[in-house]
Amino acid sequence: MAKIIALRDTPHQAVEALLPWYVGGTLDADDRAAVEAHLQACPDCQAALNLERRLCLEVAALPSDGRPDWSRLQRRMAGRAVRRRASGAFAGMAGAWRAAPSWLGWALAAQAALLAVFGALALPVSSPAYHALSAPPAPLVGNIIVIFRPETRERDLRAALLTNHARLVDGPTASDAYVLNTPAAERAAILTRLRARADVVLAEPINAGATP
Amino acid sequence: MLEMPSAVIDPRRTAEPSGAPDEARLIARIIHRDRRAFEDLYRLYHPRLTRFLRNVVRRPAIAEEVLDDTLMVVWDQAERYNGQCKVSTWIFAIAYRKGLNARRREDEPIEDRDAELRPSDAPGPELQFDRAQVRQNLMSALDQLSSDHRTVVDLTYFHEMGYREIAQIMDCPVDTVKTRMFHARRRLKRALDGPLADWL
Ligand SMILES: [Zn+2]
Repeated sequence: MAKIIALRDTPHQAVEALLPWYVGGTLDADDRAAVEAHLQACPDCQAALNLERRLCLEVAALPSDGRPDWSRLQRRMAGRAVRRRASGAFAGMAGAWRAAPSWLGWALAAQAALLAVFGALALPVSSPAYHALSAPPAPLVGNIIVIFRPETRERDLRAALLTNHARLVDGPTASDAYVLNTPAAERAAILTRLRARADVVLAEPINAGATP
Repeated sequence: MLEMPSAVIDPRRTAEPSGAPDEARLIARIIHRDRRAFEDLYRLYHPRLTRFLRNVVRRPAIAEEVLDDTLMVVWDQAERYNGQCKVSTWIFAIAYRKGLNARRREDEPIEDRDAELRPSDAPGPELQFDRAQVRQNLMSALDQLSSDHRTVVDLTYFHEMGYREIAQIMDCPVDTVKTRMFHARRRLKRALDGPLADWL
């Protein structure tokens, strides 16, 4: 630990140490009373208080940056959803998936190709404009998560989506899953068709927009 | 390991927890896997946590990563919030722990013990009336503080947290918080007014 000054040696030092929180209004009643009692008698602390106020204002006014990126977090959530399901009812499938070393080593080129396909479909749910608006339009909600075999060609992938009236909401996630939006009434049938495909490892319903 | 604990709401928590009740309600909905509630919480906390984490770790990219990690803990383990403290204290404490771990991967020393001994590089008094310059001095003085000092300063002045809450978040004695603040202020005030205003 850094050198500790004895802040409680005198009432003056104890109060001086509390001034930042006195200015911020976060002291409890006892501390506040002690500060106020001492301030009346101590010109040094009165002067320090003025400087303290300036410092507080200046620091609080310093700019902070960073933009929220909800879509990035959504991708991680989708990855979690896949792993959760994979570790549960679909352990067998997931076992097969983990056993395939090529899965993790899915070539970047293949991913880039897939991204190009989905880029052409132009259906991302989260545009920057969406994030900037305070009253955004209802986002496209994913209701199916699907994982294709790594060797699946983009043509087949596109066909799987088009023939099933599925729109890409997100993906590939960290675990190479895709989140799809399908018409609610058709979801069960689409899931059955997807699971029947040889190039689909896993297809599961999700309730991305669920509220209690 | 990746399996979620079942999301059951603790009946003890029907009593209003301390702190912002709206945020506690968001947490209750997140326990029920409500994505909309989680998105609301994310948007509520992103600016605060970004600023906080930029003090804990240096690199913006790492701060972003830690921020996402923190919120994934909230998403995955919301039922661990026990209502004993404010939601913000709980979330900031998670972020701080994760930030500390990330910081160990960065080059920066954990604690800058010599920070108080180095002369401030604040320019002379001829520049002190220039507001932009004051701000610049302050930022560079903050930058020279250790992460822990900077974190205490920002939690106090920007996030308006009391010293007890800060001690909870940083998992340290309250006297450590006060001491860090005391040293940090001395250096920051010098930056504010130049070397002539050596008040302390
Ligand atoms: Zn005094």
